[in-house]
Amino acid sequence: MMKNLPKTFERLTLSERIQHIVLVISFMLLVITGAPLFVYKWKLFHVLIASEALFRLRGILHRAGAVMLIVLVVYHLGYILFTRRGRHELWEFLPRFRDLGDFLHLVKYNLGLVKDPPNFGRYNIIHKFEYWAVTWGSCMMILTGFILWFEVQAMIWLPKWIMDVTRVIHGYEATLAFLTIIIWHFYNVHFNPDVFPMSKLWLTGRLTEEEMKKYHPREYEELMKEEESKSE
Amino acid sequence: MKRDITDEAPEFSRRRPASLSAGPDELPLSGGLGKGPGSCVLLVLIFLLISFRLADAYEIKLTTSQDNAQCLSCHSGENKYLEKFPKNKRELLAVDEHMLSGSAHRLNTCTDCHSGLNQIPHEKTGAIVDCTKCHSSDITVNGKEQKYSESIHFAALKKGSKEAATCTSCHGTHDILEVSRPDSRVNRAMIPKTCGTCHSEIFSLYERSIHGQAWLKKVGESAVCTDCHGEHQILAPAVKESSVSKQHIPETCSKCHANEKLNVKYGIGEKKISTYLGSFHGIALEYGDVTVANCASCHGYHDILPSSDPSSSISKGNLARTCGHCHPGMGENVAKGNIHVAPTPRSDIFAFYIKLAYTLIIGSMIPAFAALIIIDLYGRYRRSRLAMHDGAEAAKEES
Repeated sequence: MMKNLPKTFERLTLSERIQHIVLVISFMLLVITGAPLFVYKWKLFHVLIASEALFRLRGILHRAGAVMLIVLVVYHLGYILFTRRGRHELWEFLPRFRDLGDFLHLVKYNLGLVKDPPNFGRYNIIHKFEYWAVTWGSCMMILTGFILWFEVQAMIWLPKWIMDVTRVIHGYEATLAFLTIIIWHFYNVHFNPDVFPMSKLWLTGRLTEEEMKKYHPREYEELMKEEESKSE
Repeated sequence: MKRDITDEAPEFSRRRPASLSAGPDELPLSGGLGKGPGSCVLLVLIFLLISFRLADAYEIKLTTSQDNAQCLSCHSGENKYLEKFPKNKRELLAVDEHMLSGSAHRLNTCTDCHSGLNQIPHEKTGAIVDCTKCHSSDITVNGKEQKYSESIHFAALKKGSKEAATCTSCHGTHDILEVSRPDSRVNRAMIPKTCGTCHSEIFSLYERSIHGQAWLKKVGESAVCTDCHGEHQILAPAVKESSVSKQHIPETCSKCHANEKLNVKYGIGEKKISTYLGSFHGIALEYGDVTVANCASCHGYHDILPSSDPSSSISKGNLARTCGHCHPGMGENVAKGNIHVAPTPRSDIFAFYIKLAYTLIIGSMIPAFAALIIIDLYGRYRRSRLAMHDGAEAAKEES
């Protein structure tokens, strides 16, 4: 039985890794080209965007990043609805009451109030928070971004005060997303002492047996059970 | 019109025959003309005398300290000598003594300005007045140097324009008054009139604008021409450095409208400049995109009217058309909401509370993340110490 065990476990398929890379590129492009409008008083941006042509280029790149994100979101929607793997992942990502208990357990474990580590499954609350934050954020940004992109057409239906609200949401939602990524996501995948300087999961898509046991014990257990039942 | 004195100079002297020698006794008197062959010669003689009958009257060397009375003996408005000139020339040659003695130059002599005249009778050439002998054409306004030599007026003068404004066009000639005097042509109270002498069409637009209306009511804080255009260094709007160029319009308007006291006093509303600078238009302009709307794009410039005026470009009824200049197809929806107004619970309830909610979410999320990260790091540190401790105990037991 032990011989049949794979040495590594696939966590991200090639398609999922490519989706993540597209998200990384479009996100970075959108943040870099969008921030000069939100933090418009920062001198550095005025040094970098020193001419009308560069400012126009900023707008073009921002829209290019937006198109990338839209294509990705549409593709991802198809992926989670129309592929077997996608549907399974979506199911795994659905929030459950257990996640809250696991989370409190983790805090207690870190503070030394309980001895055993939390028995995490495939996705814990940290992963689920990030996934749904990206989903929510992308929808908000695409919706408000489209309104701002096609302002005259949008204003056939929307009064000026909704345009003002739209602009507030686009700017602040972006700030929220950027800070979440730069603080929370970067801690989890870069600065966390376990993975510093960077977890290679996003490139390899695979976890070792040790990592599976440590980070996803319940999933590992379930996989082992499946394995056993198959081999019987 | 303003520069006729100098323009006429060459023609004036050309008419003077060198051989003419007529005594003061021979001054022609009206009705003294005879008939016959001699009258033709007499007519020519009279014509010449009309021009220069006093040619040899005063053979006096003029010095710079020459008393003005010497000059005024001919150039006084009451002098009969001048009556012989056509009316328009007479006006130019006549000097109002009263005006001169009340002017800023009351202590100067004629030859201080009209230099190059050393004797009477004098050649008209060389009488071009050069103000820069005493005054610099570069001035400092609000700490900014303004050079007449860089201005659009001087550029036109160099090109040979006869209408181009020179010192005298704005400051006057014999009637120059100190700028502090309210009746001075260059006092703020008079500036629109002074500029309007040449720019009459603009003056009639300005007169109807909110700034012009306030100026007519003697509101000293209202903008006059020079507040926006500058004084000596007036530049065309197309020149980037101009105070009324697309790049500099917001800066120029903010000289008054960034002043919240004035905004409250005249019911303009608060934060008009900062909210514009924070709008997409303001931000894009600051990055150098001049195609976006600046203040003047929507408000106009010489004809600015308050939004409460139905004929204003920014009245509710006209907004769709005004915005439509740049955003073709813009409809009435643009008037349903505020434009560059800081959101308050009263003005923009949704924008205000959504902004507040985001600020609270972001403001509480960052400490929450920080706390979780610190707890996580603490957990790792605690466990690694425990592991070390266990290892040490195990080693002890072994030994």
